[in-house]
Amino acid sequence: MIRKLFMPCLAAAAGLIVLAPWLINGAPVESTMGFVQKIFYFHVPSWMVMFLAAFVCGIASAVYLFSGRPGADRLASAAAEVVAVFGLIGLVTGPLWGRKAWGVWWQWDARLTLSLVVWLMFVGYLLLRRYGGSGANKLAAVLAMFATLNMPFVYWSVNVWRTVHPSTAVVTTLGPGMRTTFWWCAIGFITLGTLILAVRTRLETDQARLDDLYLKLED
Amino acid sequence: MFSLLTTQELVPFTPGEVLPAAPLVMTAYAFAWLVVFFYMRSMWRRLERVERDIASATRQLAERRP
Repeated sequence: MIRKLFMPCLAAAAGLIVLAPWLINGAPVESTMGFVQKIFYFHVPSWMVMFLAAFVCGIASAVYLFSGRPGADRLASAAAEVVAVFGLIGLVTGPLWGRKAWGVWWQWDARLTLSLVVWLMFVGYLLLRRYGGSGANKLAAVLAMFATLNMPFVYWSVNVWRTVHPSTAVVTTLGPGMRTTFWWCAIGFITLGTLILAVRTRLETDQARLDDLYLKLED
Repeated sequence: MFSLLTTQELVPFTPGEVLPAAPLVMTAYAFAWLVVFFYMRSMWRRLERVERDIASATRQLAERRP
């Protein structure tokens, strides 16, 4: 089962690695920012995966908190790790873009600061689960719900507050050359993120099964 | 933010000072794929270890049964 899931995961990643640079190189150079704008094609998709995983984590945490389903807790834990991984990509690629486009690595404006805070909340969720001891899963679920509630603020921050970050309208107003490249990368990242989430959830399920077996061995 | 918008002094442009974009794009692209690669490798290793432990625990349980 795992191997069946892992192969499409690798194929999606390989397809993206092989074709994305070709598409990105062929996409038009943006008039104001120039060549560095091409970071956009994997910076934004990594945030898209982070956002989707954050919502999965938040909703699964709410289900676990109110219904006590262990499967929902395992899904939330797997999704939080995907948030941490793809959020890290976004947080590193963004400053590399900003250094050239804005002249600074980092700017403490609403979008960047909120993104960092939300990412730290999900890292906190993972640390709480890892080192929090018994009962930490429920505390972590509450933290994940509040972290997820921040996501709409992160998304709308560029439209509501004055910020150096491009607005959300950028994606919807892309020209034909940029649009194809962007959606190729976005779909590739989302496919990869989904498959990673599926495999990671399977790992959580296997770990729970192993814990049960150890309990039976102790009896 | 406002410190960026308010000009404190005027500095003349020096040719050759323009930051090249290609190394930044390449670094960002390489970083993204290295993170994904190492994360997938770590996940794969954890899966193998858990599957091995499950097989071992199942075997021990089976040996205990009369």
